[in-house]
Amino acid sequence: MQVSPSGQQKIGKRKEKWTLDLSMRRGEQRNDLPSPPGYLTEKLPAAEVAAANEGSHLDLVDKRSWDIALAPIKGLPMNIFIMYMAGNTISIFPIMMVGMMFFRPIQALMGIRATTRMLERSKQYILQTLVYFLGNCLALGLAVYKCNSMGLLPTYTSDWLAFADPVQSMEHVGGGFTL
Amino acid sequence: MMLKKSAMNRYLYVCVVSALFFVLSNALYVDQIGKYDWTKNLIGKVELVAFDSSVSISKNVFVATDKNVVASISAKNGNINWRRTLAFNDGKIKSLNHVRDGIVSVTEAGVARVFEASSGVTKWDVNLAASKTEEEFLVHQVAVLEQSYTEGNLLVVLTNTEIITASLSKHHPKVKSVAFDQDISGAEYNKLLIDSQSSQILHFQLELRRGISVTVYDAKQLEIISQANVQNDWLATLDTVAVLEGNQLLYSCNEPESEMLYLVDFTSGKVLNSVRLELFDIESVASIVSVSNKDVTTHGPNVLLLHGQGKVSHIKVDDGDVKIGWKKELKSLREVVTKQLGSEEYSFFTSIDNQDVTITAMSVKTGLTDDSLTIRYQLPANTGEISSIHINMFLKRTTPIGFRALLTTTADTVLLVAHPNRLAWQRDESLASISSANMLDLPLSDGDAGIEAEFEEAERTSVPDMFAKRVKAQASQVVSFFKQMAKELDEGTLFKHKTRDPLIQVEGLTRDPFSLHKMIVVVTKAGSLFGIDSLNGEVVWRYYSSLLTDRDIHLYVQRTTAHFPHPPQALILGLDPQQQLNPVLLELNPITGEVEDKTDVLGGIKSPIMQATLLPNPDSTHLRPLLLLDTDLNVHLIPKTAETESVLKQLNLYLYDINSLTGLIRSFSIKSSNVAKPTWSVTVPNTHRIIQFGGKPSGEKIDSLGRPLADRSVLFKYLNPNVVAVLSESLEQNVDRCSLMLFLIDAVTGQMIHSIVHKRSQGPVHLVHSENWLLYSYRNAKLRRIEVSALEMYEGKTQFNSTSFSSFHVRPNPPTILQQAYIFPYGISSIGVSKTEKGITSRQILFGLKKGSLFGIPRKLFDPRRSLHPNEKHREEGIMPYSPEVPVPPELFLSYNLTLEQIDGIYCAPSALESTSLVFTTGLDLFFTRTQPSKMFDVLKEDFDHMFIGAVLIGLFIAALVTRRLSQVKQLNKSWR
Repeated sequence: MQVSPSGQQKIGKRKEKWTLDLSMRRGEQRNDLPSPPGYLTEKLPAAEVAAANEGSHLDLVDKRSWDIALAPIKGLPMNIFIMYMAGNTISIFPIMMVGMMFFRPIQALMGIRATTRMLERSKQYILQTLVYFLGNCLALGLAVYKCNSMGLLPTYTSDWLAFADPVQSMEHVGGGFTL
Repeated sequence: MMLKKSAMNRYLYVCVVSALFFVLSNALYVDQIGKYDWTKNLIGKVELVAFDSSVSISKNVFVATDKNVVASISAKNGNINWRRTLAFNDGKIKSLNHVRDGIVSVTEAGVARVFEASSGVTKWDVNLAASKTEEEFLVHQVAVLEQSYTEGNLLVVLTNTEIITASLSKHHPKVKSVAFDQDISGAEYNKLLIDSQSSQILHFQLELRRGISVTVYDAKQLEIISQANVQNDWLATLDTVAVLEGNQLLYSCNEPESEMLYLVDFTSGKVLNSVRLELFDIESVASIVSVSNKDVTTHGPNVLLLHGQGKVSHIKVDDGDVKIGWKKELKSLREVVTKQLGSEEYSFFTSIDNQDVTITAMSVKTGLTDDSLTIRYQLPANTGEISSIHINMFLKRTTPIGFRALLTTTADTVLLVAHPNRLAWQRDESLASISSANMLDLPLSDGDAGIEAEFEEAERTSVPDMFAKRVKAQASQVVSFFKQMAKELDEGTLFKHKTRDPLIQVEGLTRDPFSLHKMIVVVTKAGSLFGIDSLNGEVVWRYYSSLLTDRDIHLYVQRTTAHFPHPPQALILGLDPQQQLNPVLLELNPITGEVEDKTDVLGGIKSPIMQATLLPNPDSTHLRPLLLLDTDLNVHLIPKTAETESVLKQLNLYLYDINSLTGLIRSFSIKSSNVAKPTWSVTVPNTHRIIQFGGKPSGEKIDSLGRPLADRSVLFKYLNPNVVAVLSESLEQNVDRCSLMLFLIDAVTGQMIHSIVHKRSQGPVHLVHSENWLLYSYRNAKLRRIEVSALEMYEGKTQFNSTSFSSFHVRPNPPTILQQAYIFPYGISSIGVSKTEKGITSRQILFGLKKGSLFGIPRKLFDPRRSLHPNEKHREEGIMPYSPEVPVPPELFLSYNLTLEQIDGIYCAPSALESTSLVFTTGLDLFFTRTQPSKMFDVLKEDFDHMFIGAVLIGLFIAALVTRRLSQVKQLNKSWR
């Protein structure tokens, strides 16, 4: 490690600045400087940490995990309110909102693996995952309901009319005035 | 308050309707006129001809036709200078004369009109019949007495009860008449002649076993000057009677042993001379030809006697002496006419030998002729035989006279022929009376056909073979493409429009990508067939056969051009309306016009043919067999093969037969190719007669099975393909007692689906029946207006059977019928409906109006669900509030400012573009156009700026490249900073 006024040729007329070069040059010997105070080069054993945080620390993790797990359900009332305000007319903003409503739970469900990893250390890991999953499903259901009330779901016979096959006639007729 | 509200409603309605039309308007720009539409103006079958009466060569020919048209045609090129259509209730045109005052026409019912010769403007008209009814009044003969300019010409009309004169020069003609003692219709022959020199009217009347009576009237006072009877009980025709100068009458007696020529003074009835025909070496006289003019002052002392086979003898009467002049014999002589102009008197001898027409002019006095006075003309093929010859003689400086001949043929073609064999022009007037028309796709180009052919033999060849063939076919396509391009480069037409139509840029008779270019095959009432190019209305091929004259011709297209390599094929069935003659069957290639006689196929048919229909399913060669049913209920298949018989067996075919004479509707079940079995019959009440019927078009494409309602449920259509609408009219014509009856009958089971009676209504009825709707027009006799009634059939909110329809299914509910009537502001002569390939585009109802235009209106306006009190639901569905009047905005006239007279047929055909339907109307004018009922949604508008869009795109692309480079440089500099 050297502090040198190098690079003078490269920069040319530029003002000379100091540089810190952490690489070692060939043939240079490693200087064994002592570590700063409080810095340990060896890892502490995990058991010791767990032992140190026993009790209050575990509660904190649980609480945090529940926060994550309940977030989708907590968002539902807000969503319902937004939906109500958006109305059932089909225009750009309600459509965008419905889109967001679909997008967010689907995104959350896609990334459920990452979320479960966050919940891993909680004691009620399975319950929390289930609650998180259900919450997102509820949000999705809400979006579907909104679509339905906006009339975007093909639930009526008229929506399938265009796909109906023509009716085959069993008899054929011909004729007219006597020739 | 109420008033205010209704005014408000009205305002709202006007807004809605105008908005609707704004959306639907399909009006034409001025520069689009004639781009994809064309008209062909016709006049009809020429019956009367008048040439310019002046001595010089006539520039125009004036004609009157069977369509009650008076027209002036340019003698130079046959174009119509002007055309006037007379009302049919004026009766047929009986006479046409060209005089100083203009063109004088007189109809059978006694309406005399004078038209300005140069413009066709009506100068004046008068009804000579005054208050007489049709039975009392019938025009027999008409003459024009030419007088001095100050006195004015006099129109002389001989009717069955009187002689009427009307002076022509006055704007308010003075009409005088003298009545006969009795109706002259009882007499065998009547002849009206005039004497312009002494201002006399001569009336010749021949009564069998009594003789000729000659009455001479003074033209001014209409008083009888003299009356004489020439007693001869053997005279049977006025053909052998000629009127000569000096009040002399020459007639021949053909009784055996006493063949004589008599010369009589018809003012006194005294016999001046009589000569035995033996002296002239003449056996018996067929007819005596004198000058064909009605004015006896032009009749000289010369006549021609026709006797035997083409023998002609010249007779001259000189001071009471009857002398024989020259004698001639002509081969296959058909007609002799003598004309007089100035001092020249010539006879025109027409001989017809097959298709060769020879007209020879001969001086009557000398009997001399030369080559400059002979027209030898060979009639072109497929124009029929000569039916009448009209000679136009004029004076010339070098040779004494010249002449032209206007020929009309049995195929209603008119030709003007001049010396020596020059055809000045030809008009195909049979096109004015078309009985049916068909629009057919043109065949594929050779390259496309190669690929089509590949599929045809797909079953027999292996995959590598097929691949090789495909490569070969497409390589040949590429080669032909480059060849075409090289050719166009050579000619410098590469970027030029090949046709006026921007959408059709394929030359020749090959199919264009949008299938907008069609072959129109028409059948005319005269018995001729035409293939018309839909691009410009040119006749591509024509066919006329004497086999088809005076027959009802039916055309059946068995195979279209869609099945390469099989050629398209159609059958022509010619039936005798009296059912006396045997039917005629011809096989036609509708694209090339090649015809082959197939009458021998009908050999097995002994009784008259009652019904004919094409089977809905084709055989393995894609040919739809034709099924004929005779009155003995025998079934005949054409072609009759084991395969077509099995095609018939697989079908459940029913034929219905409507007899308009007896009012009987019968149906037959056809299970095999032997005998039809009667199934049901219905008779209309004997106070009614069937005037119109409408079955559904076979193979109709229906896109939607129902109508979505505002609550998003579906109202399913009642799509019974077997429904037939039958309309009958009461025999009672009294306004208060007449009625129209409509039946909707299932043709398979005979079940009466619906019936309705329109009281105080009459025909004529025009009707369209399609999908689940029916639209018909009739006349409301009480309120004296035309009404259009729309009827729709619905199954209800559930579909009984979503896969198949059988009339034998027992349905829980009868179909719901909705019906509404509308007031139509114009007289209707024909109704049609637009047709598109998939049936997705909304339909347009096309009305041929009596006022001479084609009007296309969206069917939406005839929706029977239009409510008087519209609510939210109606608005959501887009149903307009009901208003009884049908609006007629001028932009919906497909014929823009053209006048299409007497439209009697509207034919529609789909194109490959879903938005576009082709329309062809027949009548006195042929009109072809295309219509886009839902606007042109699948093709860019003509005014779309390709250059601008292209330039913008390229500009943006270049800009993107440049800015990318710039930003890269900037980024690099930034990173160095």
